[in-house]
Amino acid sequence: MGTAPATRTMPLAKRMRRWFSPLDLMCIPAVVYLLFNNYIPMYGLVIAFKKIDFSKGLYGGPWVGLKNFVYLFKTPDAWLMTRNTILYNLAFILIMNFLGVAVGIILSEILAKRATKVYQTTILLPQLISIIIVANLVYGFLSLSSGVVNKTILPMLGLEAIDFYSSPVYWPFILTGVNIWGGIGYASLLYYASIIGIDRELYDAAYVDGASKFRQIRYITMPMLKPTVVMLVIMAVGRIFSSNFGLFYQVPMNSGPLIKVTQTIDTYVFRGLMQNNNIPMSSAAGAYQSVVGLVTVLLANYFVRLIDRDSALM
Amino acid sequence: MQRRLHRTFSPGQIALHLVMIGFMLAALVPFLLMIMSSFTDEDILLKYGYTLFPSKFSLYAYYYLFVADAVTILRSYAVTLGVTASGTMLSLLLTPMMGYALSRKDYRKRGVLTFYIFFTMLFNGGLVPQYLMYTQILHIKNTFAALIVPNLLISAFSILLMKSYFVLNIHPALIEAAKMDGGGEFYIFFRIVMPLSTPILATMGLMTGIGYWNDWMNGLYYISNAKFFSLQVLLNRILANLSFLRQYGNELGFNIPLPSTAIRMAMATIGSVPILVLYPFFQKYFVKGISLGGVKG
Amino acid sequence: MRRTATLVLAFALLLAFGLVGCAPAATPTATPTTGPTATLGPPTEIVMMYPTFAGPQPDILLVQDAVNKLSVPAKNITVKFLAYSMGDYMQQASLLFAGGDQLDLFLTLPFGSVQFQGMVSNNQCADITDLVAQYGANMTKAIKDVYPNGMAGTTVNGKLYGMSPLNDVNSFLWLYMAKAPLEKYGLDLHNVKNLADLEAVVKTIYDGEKKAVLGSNGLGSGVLVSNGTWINFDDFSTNLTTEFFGSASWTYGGIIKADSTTVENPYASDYFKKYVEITRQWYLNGWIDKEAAADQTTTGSDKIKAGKMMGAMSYGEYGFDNEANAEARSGVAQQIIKIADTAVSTGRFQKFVWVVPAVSQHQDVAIQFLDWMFTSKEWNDLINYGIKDKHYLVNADGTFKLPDGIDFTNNPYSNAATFFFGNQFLSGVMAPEAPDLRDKVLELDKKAVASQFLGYTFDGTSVMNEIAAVNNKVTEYYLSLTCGNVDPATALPKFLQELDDSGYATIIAENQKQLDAWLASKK
Repeated sequence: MGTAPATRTMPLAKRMRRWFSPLDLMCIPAVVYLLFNNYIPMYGLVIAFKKIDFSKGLYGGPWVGLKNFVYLFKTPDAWLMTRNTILYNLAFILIMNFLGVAVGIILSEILAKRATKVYQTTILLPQLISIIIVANLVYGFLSLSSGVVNKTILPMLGLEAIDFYSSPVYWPFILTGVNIWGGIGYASLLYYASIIGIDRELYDAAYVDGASKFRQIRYITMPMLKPTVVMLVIMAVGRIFSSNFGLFYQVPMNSGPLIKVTQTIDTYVFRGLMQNNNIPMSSAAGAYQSVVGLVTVLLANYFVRLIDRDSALM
Repeated sequence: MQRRLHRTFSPGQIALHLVMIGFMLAALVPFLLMIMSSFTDEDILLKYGYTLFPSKFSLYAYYYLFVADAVTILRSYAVTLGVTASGTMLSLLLTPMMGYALSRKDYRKRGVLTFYIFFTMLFNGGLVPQYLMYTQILHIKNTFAALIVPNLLISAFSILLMKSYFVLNIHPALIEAAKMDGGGEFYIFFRIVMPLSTPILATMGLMTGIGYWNDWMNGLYYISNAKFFSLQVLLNRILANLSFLRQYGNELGFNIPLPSTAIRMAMATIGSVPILVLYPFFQKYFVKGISLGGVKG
Repeated sequence: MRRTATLVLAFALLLAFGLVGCAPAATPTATPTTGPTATLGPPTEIVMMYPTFAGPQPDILLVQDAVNKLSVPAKNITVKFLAYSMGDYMQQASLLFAGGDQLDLFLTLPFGSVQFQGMVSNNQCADITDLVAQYGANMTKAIKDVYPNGMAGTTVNGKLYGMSPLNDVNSFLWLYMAKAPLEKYGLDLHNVKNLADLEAVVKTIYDGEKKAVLGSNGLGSGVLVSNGTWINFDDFSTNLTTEFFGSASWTYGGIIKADSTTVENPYASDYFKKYVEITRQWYLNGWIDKEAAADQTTTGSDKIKAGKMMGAMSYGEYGFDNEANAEARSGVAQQIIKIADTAVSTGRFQKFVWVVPAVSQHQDVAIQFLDWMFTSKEWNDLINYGIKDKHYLVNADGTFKLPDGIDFTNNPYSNAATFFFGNQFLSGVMAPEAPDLRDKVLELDKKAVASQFLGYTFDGTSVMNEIAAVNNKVTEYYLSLTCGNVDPATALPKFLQELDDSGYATIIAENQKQLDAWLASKK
């Protein structure tokens, strides 16, 4: 390309630049992507307010107002999935943050820094593995015919084998355990990073004053971590209506008898659509989750903003 | 120094180490079990179940996967690799581009666009409409793009993460100087901003890559042609068949051959080994990412 | 200059993105090219969807092309297969229905009539009464030749909504046991004529071996009580009359007395109580595999090989008791006896049904193709076994065999579901089955006893929630009761109570109401 054609196109380029800057161009791919991936599908919420008529296409049915929601909330499912979603999330938030702080403190107290690194690296590992493989690993432990628990551990203790995949009582603990197994590395690392960020002089001063290790943790580390904990808890509470779909669907191997303790809003939406051929209920539950979720996220964000502007989403 | 050495081996320290070793074992043992089971003789598996120390080893599962049924596994491996590589690269190009534009204080549309991005984090239309969008309008069913584009390519979260990284780490004076030298926006972005951002790019590339490697949902929704099955999709289908048998087997009235337990574990092993092996090398970016702004895996 | 270059670069990027996003649209699902049939105009393409039990079928497109080479001259139709493994079949079907993608023929699954009935009450199936009258003469004849009343099973309220493939309607209950322990104690399973005989055999072996003798064949079956058929334990050679309206979990209640039209709760019957109590006793004696209820996915022969049990009862078609075949298939020498026949019920014809989705634009063409499926031997062999000399070989006696080094799991094409694809009696037989197997079965099927309720279909729309709740309860209790894991003295009343709480009586009452109306209309 020579100089001459370039000068000739200059006015056009200039004109274009007035309403179309290079920065705009940089945004276009992502903007278009989100338009297709997120914005246009939002229109789909209307399905929740329609009766499905397969012969007319999904959007073609007549409007029925709130009828789908009324029906959904009459079923025991609505209460069950809401209860499960909230209770699991509460348990996860409590245990994860407690353990996260504890492990974070332990990591920061270990003097052999090379060992700290090894521990950190290892406990983060489960986070990277796909939930499908996690489900396989859990099956390796719990399977009745070949799982380690039933074939090795329980016989050693002289106990009867347990059919985990049809015994709902165990699953709240199993799912909480798997969730912690997968997430503890991440949580502890967050807290570890904040602890490392605490001014060492505070500890040195306390040490000079003769404060014991426990007192240092109690009166320096804990108070300094408090804002981080509060922030993370609020953010997690904001997402209390959503759940890790893979954990609740894949890990229990989609087992029917476990539904009572494994059904969350996300799995209900998925099952309604994919297995039970119940699109109206599925989309009503999805819309319910979207709206309630929006409110809780905004509320959480509002509180985060009160505490620390920079950590807020917007 | 003396005192320090002494403290390193104090009972308190040893207790801390023991606790962490416990956590470490909890993280590792399931993987060891998976790997050992994949090498266990099938008869032993049936009799004694999965065990860390099998009494008889067998390479049959791997023979089956890489020799007897090589086409299936090698192809799905290639699909997984191809999707991970191309998806990550594309994402690493498009995400920082928008993040950078939004980080520029002199960009007039940044307020509107930031909200446009942010809003997608608050609200979503759900599975069905998205499925209709991709299959009826964009027609990506049973294409390579179906594994790359939906949901994984660009996320609002990573755009905002990039944006805040640029705001904090790229000084406006630097950009001004480059402009004075006659550098265009794209020149500045590719030659100045991107090279200065390798840490965050590494972290993001890592997270995106793992996301692609582990994905099974896109495969479930948009792929029915065996040519495009990724490793995770294959595994998911086996799990789905197992749970189908649990639920509906009684109405079926005949038996269906399923891959044996050892083969399942071997597939899980080859699906996670690349991550297990590469992880020590890239873990520092991962750790950095978490401290940077809570990158969620 | 630099700015222009930047712009160009940017557009290139945009284009690259556009390609990723949209390029696939340019390569839509390939239409197979077919031979010239100028006189009829271009062939119409239909899409058919069915489940497979084999792994991925890399050669499926080859088979599809081979089919189209036949179907174009025969009917001027090309077909596109959508084959999914049974695990995600329902999910993929839901997506297709939701998405309104082209779909012209669909095989209902899961087995059991729930899916077919559900689709009919959701208005998802086209009413094909007239179309079959117009285009389906061959298949109507093929079905009526074997089962004069066969199409009544897929008729709901006087309208035909689907066609059950023509296949072996007889399913028998068999009892198989490993030969080794039987011979060791000088026993012969063929002398077992009733429960007392069986008990004696089991006791003798247990007393000698001190190991579980009976177990579950898997797939949701109990040890003595079977969900489909009630065995006459006093005499294995005769049958008890029952009708469960196509639900394997007895969700709609059942007719459990001969000559009765009263729908009852089968779980509350004396029969159920008596035999779960016997099962429990056998379990406590140690005669029954403790894991029978829990391990429903390991095959019976694998359980025998692993030493977990020595025998179990199993459903099977005619010829299941060919002991040489059974040994060749499973690697376990065994003796097999028949313990019950089954009557032909409505449910039998709704187990899997070819339906034409209401959204299909080619309903007439779909019926024409279906008609061809019932009459073409080439079609039945192709779809089931693949391409001759490539996926299977033909023996001198006309039976088929797999090429060397190929088995069911690594064959690049195999369906092995001859009962799905139209007319099972036209399809070849895989050795070591006898070459005249199909003729034998056909003869037998023509004599099969039809239930007096054939043609009645329960419409569960108004009691959907109750049905789901009852199914959950059954899943929770059925296997542990029928495999002896729990004490029926406490568990059975609890189960019955929970069934009541789930609205079982409501379902049964609704079923009775509909059944009475149907009986009245028949008079």
